[in-house]
Amino acid sequence: MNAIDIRNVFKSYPEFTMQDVTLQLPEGMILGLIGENGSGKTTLIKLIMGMCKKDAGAIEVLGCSDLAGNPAMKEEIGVVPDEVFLPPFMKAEEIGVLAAKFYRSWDAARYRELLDMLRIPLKTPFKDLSKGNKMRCGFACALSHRPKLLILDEATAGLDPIVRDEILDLLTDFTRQEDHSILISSHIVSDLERVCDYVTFLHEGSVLLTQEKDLLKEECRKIVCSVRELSAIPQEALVGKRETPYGAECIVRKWGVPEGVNASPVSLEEIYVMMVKGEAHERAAI
Amino acid sequence: MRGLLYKHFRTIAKEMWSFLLLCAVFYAVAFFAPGMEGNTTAIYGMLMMSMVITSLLRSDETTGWRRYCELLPISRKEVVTSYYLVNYGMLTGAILLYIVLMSLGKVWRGSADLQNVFSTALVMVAVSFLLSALSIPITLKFGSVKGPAIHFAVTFMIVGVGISLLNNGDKMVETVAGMPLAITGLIMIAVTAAAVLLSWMISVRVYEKKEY
Repeated sequence: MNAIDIRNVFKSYPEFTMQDVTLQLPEGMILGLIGENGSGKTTLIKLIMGMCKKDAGAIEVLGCSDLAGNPAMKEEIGVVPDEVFLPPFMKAEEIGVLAAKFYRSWDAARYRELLDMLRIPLKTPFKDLSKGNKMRCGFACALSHRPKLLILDEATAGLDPIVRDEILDLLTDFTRQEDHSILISSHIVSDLERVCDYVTFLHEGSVLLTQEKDLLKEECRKIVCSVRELSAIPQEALVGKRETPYGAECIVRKWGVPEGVNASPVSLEEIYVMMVKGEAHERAAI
Repeated sequence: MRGLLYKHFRTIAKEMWSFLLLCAVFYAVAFFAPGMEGNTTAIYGMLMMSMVITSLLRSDETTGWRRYCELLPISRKEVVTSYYLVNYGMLTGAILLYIVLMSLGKVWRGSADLQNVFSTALVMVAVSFLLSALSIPITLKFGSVKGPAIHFAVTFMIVGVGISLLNNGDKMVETVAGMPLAITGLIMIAVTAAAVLLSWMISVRVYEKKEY
């Protein structure tokens, strides 16, 4: 079963269009949405949560195709948005009291445990917390009602490496239970590389690629070659390329690497950048 | 709903207590200065109370609370309903408090004529309930920046039409005004209740269509 199943979704705004987005998050897995600012990550998460209406397509979350019409289903979902908007005057303890009134499955002991674990000041009003502490508080709230699905929208952006590391550890812990899944969007690709099972590259409102992370990294190789060598690579094997006055740099599926050419392992960030920049490069050439 | 109400009352207590204090001051003046001036002062107190909801809506918009509500297991209808419950609960409480206070004042002064208290209470119901019935859907639709200006324009128009009907000797208005207080009161309460219900329905519709 898929925790999230998105098929052929379209959504238009005056200056942005999301086109034919299809992706699945299998239950028990972590899917990373990678995309530059404005690529449609937040729009996709809003569509999943029913915060805006899709123009076409189908979205199923934990088997429910209309989350806006079934708000009770949100008991099963923990969301940490890019900015956590909790009542500014409330202190962490009172936020727990408030959240307990919204969630039937609220676990006050777990919340307290998370507050201690994440070292969130208890006596400071939310508005006076640092950005990192606000985000930690958002995590504590999202995890304390024992959700099955966690959705994080740029939740680690702007946080220092220590906080990010703690949060990534929390995510790894969360998926120890096999029916727990996570959708995490970020433009900090190294974070996603560390925790994700699957990755989806989004660019200008379209899906460039969805694949199992390890398989993708195993399949792809980076090569630096001459333009003549580049032309010898089968087009189907090319994931992304960039031609320079001195030669070419490209990401190629392992089976398409020409003999005798040095191929090195590649990071997710390199694959994403090459796909996006290569595409832009080709468009400019046309 | 429990969570929404808890949050609203905590926000009001923390950030909008000055409106409640002003209302209490106006009530105190009305208590110690009975008569026409006292009645007017008490109505000002109710106007203060009806401003609480506009402030609450503005606060929830600027702090992003309504956006956060989208992530919670509650419907948009519940979000809208919570504002109505808090607003009309507080207004009703304030009007009942006015009636009790003023009646006690009358008894204390040895008067048994409560007609003046009830007629003022009716004006308070009409003014405060109708003002909020207008302000909630307008603020939800246009936001807290454009909303107040539109609210003011609509209120101005309605008051203008009302005054023109009174000045032109509209038969219906004259008939209602000439009725006994109990009947006039019932008609006013029925009209106000219908307006509040219509306002709630419009607000739910407006808010359910909103995209974040």
